[in-house]
Amino acid sequence: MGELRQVKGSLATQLLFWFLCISVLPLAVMTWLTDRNATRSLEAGVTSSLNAIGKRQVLQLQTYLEARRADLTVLARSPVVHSSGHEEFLRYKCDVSGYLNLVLVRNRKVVFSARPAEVTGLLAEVTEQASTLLETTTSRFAVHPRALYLAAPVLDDAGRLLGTLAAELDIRVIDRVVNDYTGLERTGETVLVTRMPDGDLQCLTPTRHDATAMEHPLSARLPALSEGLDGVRLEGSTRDQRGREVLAVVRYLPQLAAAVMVKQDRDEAFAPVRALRQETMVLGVGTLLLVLFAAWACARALTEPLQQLTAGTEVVASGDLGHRIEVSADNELGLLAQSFNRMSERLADSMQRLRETIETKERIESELTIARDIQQQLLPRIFPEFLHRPEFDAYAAVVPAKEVGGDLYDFFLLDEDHMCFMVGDVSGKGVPAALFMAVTKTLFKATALNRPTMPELLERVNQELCRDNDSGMFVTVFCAMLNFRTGHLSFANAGHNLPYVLKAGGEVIPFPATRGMGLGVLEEAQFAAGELQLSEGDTLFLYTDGLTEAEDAEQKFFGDARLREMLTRSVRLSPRALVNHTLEQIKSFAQEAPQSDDITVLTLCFYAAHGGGEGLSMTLRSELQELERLSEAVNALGEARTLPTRLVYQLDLALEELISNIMNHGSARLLQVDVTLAERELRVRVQDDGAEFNPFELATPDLDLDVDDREIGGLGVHLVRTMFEHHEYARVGGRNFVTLRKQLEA
Amino acid sequence: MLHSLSGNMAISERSVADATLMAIEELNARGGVLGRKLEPVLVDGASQSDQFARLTEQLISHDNVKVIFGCWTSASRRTVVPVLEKHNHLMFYPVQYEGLEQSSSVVYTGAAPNQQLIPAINWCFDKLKARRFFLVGSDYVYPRTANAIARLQITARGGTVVGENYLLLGSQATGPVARQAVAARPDVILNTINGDTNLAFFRELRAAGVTPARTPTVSFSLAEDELRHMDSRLMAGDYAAWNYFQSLESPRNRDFVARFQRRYGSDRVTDDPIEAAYVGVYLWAQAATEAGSPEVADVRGAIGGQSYPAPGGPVSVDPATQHTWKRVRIGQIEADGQFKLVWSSQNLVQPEPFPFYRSPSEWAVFLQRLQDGWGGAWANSGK
Repeated sequence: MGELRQVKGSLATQLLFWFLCISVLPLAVMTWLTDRNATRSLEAGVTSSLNAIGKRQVLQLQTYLEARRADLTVLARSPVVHSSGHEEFLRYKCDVSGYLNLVLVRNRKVVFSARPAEVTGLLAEVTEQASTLLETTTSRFAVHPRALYLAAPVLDDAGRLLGTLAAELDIRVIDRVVNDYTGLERTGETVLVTRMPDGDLQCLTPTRHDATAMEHPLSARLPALSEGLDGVRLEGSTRDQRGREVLAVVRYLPQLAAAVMVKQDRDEAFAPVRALRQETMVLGVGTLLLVLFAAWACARALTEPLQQLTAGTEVVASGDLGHRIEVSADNELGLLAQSFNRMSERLADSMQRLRETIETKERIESELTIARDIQQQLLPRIFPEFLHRPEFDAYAAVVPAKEVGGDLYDFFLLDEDHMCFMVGDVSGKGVPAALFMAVTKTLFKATALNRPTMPELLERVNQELCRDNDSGMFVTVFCAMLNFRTGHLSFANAGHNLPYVLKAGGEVIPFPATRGMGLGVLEEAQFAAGELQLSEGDTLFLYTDGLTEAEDAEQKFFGDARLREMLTRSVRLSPRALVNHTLEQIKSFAQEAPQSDDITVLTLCFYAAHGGGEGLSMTLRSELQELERLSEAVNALGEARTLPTRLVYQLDLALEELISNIMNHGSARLLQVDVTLAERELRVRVQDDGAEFNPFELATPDLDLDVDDREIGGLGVHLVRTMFEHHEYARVGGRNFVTLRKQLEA
Repeated sequence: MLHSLSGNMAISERSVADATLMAIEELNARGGVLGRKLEPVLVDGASQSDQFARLTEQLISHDNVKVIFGCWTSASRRTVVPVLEKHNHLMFYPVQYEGLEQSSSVVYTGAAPNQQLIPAINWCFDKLKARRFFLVGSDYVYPRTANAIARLQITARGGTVVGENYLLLGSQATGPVARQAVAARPDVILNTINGDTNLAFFRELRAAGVTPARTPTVSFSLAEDELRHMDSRLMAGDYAAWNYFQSLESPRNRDFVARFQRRYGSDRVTDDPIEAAYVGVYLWAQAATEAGSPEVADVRGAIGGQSYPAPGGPVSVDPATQHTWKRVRIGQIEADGQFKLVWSSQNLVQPEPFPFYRSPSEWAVFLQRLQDGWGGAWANSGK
């Protein structure tokens, strides 16, 4: 069980993130939109209200001025004005019309005035203007002192100018209009501004925030008012004479050559938006806190059981299946914990059962291993025992499959000239097959010792096997008997793969097929006899179908063709080498593919016997001490056959030289020496299982050299050459054969 | 847009149409009015009053225009006004005129008599010390009315009208009148002659030895655009009364002149009617914007009290009369056809379409007599 992967984000932070996304983000967007819309609509609302107030005030001023103007115009045209006795009327008119003064001027002199007046300053200016323009004229708005006049020309009946009637307007009326703050909240005010001849801007009336505003020019640069005096109508944000940010509306008032600015401080105008903003902020922070808490609570509700689950699963994962998770959550996570606990219980049960099963299996497997070992021990394993038979050599091997299989082989001597060998394959696998194989092998050997013919052997074994064979098992067997003196081979086949003969000349020939079915199937089964004559150096190759049916990784069989081809290339190998080579080939073919069946290979090489007559035959270990034993045997042979002493000496010397050469040069483990005397011919054959070594290829020694300086070994071979008129070397069946012949004198 | 693009008035009216068009283009370049582009429909009054009336009917009934900018001569305006009033429609009229009229269907962006004529006479009294006045004009409603007013003003100020004479519209036979003027020995000649008759008249004056130094002429229908087509050297030294001159020194005016010349060519000039026509479009746009609708009734409701920073200084629409408050100026003609400013009113002058001396109904009688004398027309056709 690996470590838990390190996680980057916790569920809690993810939850928090998504909670914020779905709550705060829309809230922020909505707030922004609301704020923007509120600001806009409020600005529009305030501006519109300022506009209305501005319009109202301008209208009031205009109405007042126009009414006074019309009033004075009419008064000036009234005949009363230039008739005698006008004083009373004019005084009366001055009062009821709300003029501060009413002055009739003629030739720059006061003809009449309701209150004392002099034709100077503003009055002189306005009466002059009216008399030249011949129309009712409004004076400029004087600020030091504050005064505003209207003047109208007075004409006589002939249309000639008689004088000018001037009225001083009550500026307080204008002040009242300007200082009417209805609808202007706390900070709103109206300023009436004109441009003085020197270019300075000048307030004409007191303002709400400055009762003495008209006493001094406006110092600040006020583009809104300056533009307004040029006729530009303005609406929107600007800065007022106090330097405050205001929402303002500016209107031009031509009667007074003035601009009217109605304004309200932005701070006040946008107070509702600020309040809204604050409320939204509080709401936002509240929401944020709520969301944080909700996310925390939700994360806790989720992660706590999950953490408990994780910890629990960790404990279980570490092997403690008895651990139970405590999750109090009354929801899906609680259910999950419950089912997890149930899973743990089941797992524990399963583990228990599995453990028991494994124990059983292990026991069976170990029993099977023992069975296989026993089975393998049934098969002959020691091969050197045949080496004292110079006529043949044999070797066999079984590569058992993992499961106990039913391959078997055997070879054994029947007498001095005959040996029997067989290869078999029990159907099925496992212990029954192993037992069946053991029975078969035992039956074979027991039956074969009574020297039946091969078909008889099979028939008898078959009958025995068929008896009480309820298991339905059977075994295929190839058995043969070899007369190793003559090379005659009789055989029978009970449904087994046909072996091959590897001829000394290099051919590979399959055995001729003979009738016969597997043993243990049909009690009355008959088997045909087969015969074959082996020549010197022929090798038999017997195998079970585990060999040809070996599979590679792609489940392709090794097959007959590949086997035959391999055999063709292996004619000169000794039986042991051939078996090993075959098994290596199979191994490299199969690679990692599992072996499904036992593979059995048995090889036998026939080396032929040498004539008849008395002789010597002995097996030597490849040790120089053995030469002594050989020497004794040669001498004993000489005495027994009354051979000439000289010949015995020569033979002894030749053998000693030859064999010590072989022992020195070759890698033989065992040597077989056969000496026969027949029909006045001395025949010697030395065979060994060492590497290829031809002693006759050793150089003839330089006889002129001193003995000590000569090459060791060369002399012995030279001696052998000179002593035996016929000498030859052959490499057959993986063995070295040296054959020597010498004609004996009569 | 209703102007004479052909006939004897085309020389003046084309430029006024150009100014109107320029203002419309400027507004459209800024996104139009109330989010919609203005689409000018330009028709040719062909200097014929009846044609003006017919086209007014067509513009209102067929083209469904929201407002008309048009007319120059009082003759054409006076035939158009009844049609406008019948449809309760609205026209912006850009030229100085004789007054005596106050239609709710017209916004007068040119000068009323008291904004041009009367201050000019006063100026003659005060600055030229003139007492003897010779009045000459084309024989149609404006000069006739203007001179009637002038006569009253001159009388009131104690001056004398030494002669008053009229020339038919388009007449070149100015010799007799010029000779009369010389014979009357006036201190100043008040000239309300229209169009190129001026050229002939001035030629005769000069031929008769009248020089601006001794007997200056003050003209009321002679602006830069007319001078452009005449030999202005002939008039150099004489005076004209207007509310606007191209030569006014103010950033707004310099910018306006530059735009006009960029648009129509550097040989073009701006003058009073051109400025008044240009301002009219902006006043209309401002009123429509404030009213939130381009419909006639809405614009009329909002037009009173509108002010605009015109090239010639602030103008303001008088709510009572639908005339504009304007500054009055007198300029001296220079050899290059431009004016040198010699006098300017201190403040904006309130429009007074019905001069002080008589009541509106008295003026109506006066006009009726004129019309009757011309057989129902507003000009003496000479028949």
